[in-house]
Amino acid sequence: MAIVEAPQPLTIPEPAQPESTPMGVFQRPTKTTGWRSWVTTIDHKKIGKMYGFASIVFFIIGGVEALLIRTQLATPNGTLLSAQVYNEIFTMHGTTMIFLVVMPLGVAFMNYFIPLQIGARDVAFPRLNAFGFWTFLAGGIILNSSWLLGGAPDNGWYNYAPNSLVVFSPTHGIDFWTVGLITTGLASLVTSINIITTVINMRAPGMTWFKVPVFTWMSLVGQFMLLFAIPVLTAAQFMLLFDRRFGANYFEVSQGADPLLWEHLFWIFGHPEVYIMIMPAFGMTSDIVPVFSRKPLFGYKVMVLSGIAIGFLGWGVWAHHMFTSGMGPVSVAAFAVGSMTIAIPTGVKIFNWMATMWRGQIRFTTAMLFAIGMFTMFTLGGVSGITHAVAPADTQQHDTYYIVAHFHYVLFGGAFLIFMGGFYYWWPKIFGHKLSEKLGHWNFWLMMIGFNMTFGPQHVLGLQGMPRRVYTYLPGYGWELWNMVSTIGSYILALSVLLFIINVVYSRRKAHAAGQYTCEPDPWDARTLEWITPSPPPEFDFWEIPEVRDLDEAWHRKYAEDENGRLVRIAKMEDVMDKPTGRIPHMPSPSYWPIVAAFAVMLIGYGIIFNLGLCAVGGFLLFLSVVAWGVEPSTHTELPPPEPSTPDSGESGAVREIEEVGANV
Amino acid sequence: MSDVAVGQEHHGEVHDPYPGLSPHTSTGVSHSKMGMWIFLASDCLLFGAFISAYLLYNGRAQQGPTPEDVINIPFTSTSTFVLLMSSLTMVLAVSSAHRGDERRLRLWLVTTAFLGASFIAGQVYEFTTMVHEGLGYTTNIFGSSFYSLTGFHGVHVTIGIMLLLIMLGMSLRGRLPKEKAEVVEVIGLYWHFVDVVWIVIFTVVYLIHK
Amino acid sequence: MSDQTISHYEQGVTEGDYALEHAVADKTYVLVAIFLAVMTALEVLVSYTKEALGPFHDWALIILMAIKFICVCLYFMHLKFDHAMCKRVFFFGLSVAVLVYCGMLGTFHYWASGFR
Repeated sequence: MAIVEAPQPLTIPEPAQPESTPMGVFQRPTKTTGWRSWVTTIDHKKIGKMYGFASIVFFIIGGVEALLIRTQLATPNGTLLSAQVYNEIFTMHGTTMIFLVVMPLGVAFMNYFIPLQIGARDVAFPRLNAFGFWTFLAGGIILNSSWLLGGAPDNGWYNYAPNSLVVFSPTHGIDFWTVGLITTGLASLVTSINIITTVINMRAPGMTWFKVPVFTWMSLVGQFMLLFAIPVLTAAQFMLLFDRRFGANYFEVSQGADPLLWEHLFWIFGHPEVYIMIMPAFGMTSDIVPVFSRKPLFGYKVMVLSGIAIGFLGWGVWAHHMFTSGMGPVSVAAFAVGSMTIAIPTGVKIFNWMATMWRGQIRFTTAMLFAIGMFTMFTLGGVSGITHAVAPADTQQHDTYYIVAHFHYVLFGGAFLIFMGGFYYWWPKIFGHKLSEKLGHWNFWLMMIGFNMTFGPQHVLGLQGMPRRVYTYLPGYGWELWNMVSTIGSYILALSVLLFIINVVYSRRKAHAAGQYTCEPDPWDARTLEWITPSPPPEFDFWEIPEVRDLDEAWHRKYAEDENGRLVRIAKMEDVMDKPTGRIPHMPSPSYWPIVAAFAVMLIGYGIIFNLGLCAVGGFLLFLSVVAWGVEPSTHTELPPPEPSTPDSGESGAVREIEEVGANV
Repeated sequence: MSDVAVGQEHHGEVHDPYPGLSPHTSTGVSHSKMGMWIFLASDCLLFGAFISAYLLYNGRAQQGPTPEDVINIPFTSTSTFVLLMSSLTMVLAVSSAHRGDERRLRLWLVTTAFLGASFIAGQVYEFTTMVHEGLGYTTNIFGSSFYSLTGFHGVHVTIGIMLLLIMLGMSLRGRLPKEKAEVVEVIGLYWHFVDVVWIVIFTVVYLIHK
Repeated sequence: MSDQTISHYEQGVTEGDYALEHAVADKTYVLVAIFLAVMTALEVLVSYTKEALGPFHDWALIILMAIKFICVCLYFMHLKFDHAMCKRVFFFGLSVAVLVYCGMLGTFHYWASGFR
């Protein structure tokens, strides 16, 4: 082992001098407030907030699209939307909700909380993190700009070939879908590399793999799946793009191509994709249920291993989306068995959450209500999923509203409900005040009623034979009642979302009016590491990187067990939380280049659709911004002055010590 | 690349149990290197899609030239050899970087870039010939799947050449000293991956299905 | 990855140490390169003997390809000497790719008549 003396920290009086700029490029920005600080930020917490805000905006857009669908289908012979517009609306609803809402909302929570949960100051590649956000936003803009630029994509979110080829889809709609999702795919790819590197490489001393919180673990599994799934989708999208734009023959049947190639490539991505969406949700549930049961998670190791098992098995079931495509009985049987098998590790989780609650001291906070809502609704969705796995039964169910019911139960009832729970749980940590519990309870119950009213009846409609993707239906099939109930349910659901927004605004106003901008570090008496930081945490997350001794480290700092195995409180969080040390850690500076590079990507995207010259411009700008990114200097940021130093530090608070950093690459 | 590396600093505060200059990550591997391996793992999926699409469509072209008509094994074998040797020169560049031998580093970087460029030139020549023989991009599914696959690979190689030249520029400005050898190593990983993908393409596309 | 294994970090072993202890000499690299060139020549030779080898022709080429692939990964890419996590991550991705795409081709009955 190399023996090297620990270098002495340098002391520089304020203000620090910026380094010279060797290649004459721009100085790094220094703003810490105002819109410029958001546009140039590389702080994972700010980026997490931006992801969250953008997701909610897209959620409202996708929600309006849903309300239009439900209004159109409330009665037979609906006249609100033409068939063409209806096709665009349901395509955009699905694409938006999956790629622009559920995925980025998961990333929002991951971005904010994974570093805090593992005891790190940020993610491994902070500028890449910012680039990921701005590129995601660019993709969302490209996709939604289709409404204004000639028509939205209209071929379903899975966009099967050869219907997606120019001869059948002559407008640019499909190109917006392809280019928009290649762009968001790039964002997903760089983010997955970032999160995986962060969790592998930046865990605090003592945090071995089986002391990592379940939210971080499940997110890691999901990000590994995303890492491998995105290239498959991107490849398929390039093939489609080359067919449409350059006359390639990947899906040209007259030239001998096979339309099933698209289906396979799409679903090889598409099935892992749904696990990608649910993994952080599983993790969140596993963090929240123990806190509000005052009991450790039942079977932590099993929960982790079952998550990993799902991560593996999820790659072997994709063709259950293709049971009726004519693959042949051997393929169908193989994928049916795989799909049934994957229910086992999933079911294990449900039982473990219930076992965690068993004989616990349950607190029915809003977060807990949403968590319970999650695993009950997800179970219902899982049960209908099992019926799909039985291939002969699926032949009846495929392309009916029974499938629509299933995936809304697992995605809305599973993922989105617990994201709501995550908001209520983590809001005080992020914003320094809680959301109103009273409004929260109304929010929850209204959402549960609205959700079940909307999607419950769709099981019946599906089994009664109502197909998907029909813009209207004739009277006399007996579908009128449940369609009307479903539509009313969707409006109740919309109301519940409005209530959430009201809660956000109301709680913020109330707290700020009372001068409350921070709150206690641990308002829920929680278990995981993020709760030892102040609420909200400082820019650098931790004054001192914690030493981790236990799973549920925060809990074990507060509680021990006596000789009878009973819980004994040994400290308050205020005593054992992360405290100021008088030395501010040196964080990387903000940067312009991530947003500039993302803008360049957006130019390339529009160029592919409209004018290849624009591609050249975008490409050149991308090249310049990446080079500038690589060579920009790191200046010292002007951080706010440190907290008054602790009595025994022996230093005056004004002196800021710059720490040595290791080899930079 | 001069970002303050988060999470790799000494914990110079309070106590640092691990004094030393190497990255202090949970694995001891730097973020860049770990990140590059993670990226390369994902790239396997990208190339796999194009390779399997090519394999699926092999022999299904309805008209136009077939692989037997246009594939030139002697020529492509030479290109393959050139790319393989570029991996050797890359690894020698990394070795020089670790030793702090900046002159040798630049020599091997230039050689690697030159060999890579020769490979690309060979591809361009090969494709031009094929087009003259009647195999265009849009001619049939063989043309589309063949050119897309080799084209994606060629783009990867070209990006690699640009990275090599950027490193050359950095070295000439004195910004690639011994302490920064890892930059060369990480870019080297990318370069070898591109070579390794060609090993697969050469066998599966050219040799087995000629 | 069990609790018993203390983290690399805690052992205090660093990247620098790995590099020092497992430095590969330039000569070794040249030998590996020669080996790869020989393998390539062998592959080309085999490809010209399709009739003679019959069904073994394709497998012989696959095996030679795999040997070259592994050599570049283990030596040139230094996987033999680096932290196990790098190897795990990369080979995991490679395995998913191989399994998934071979599975996909299987549903098209691609393997029914051997390599075509």
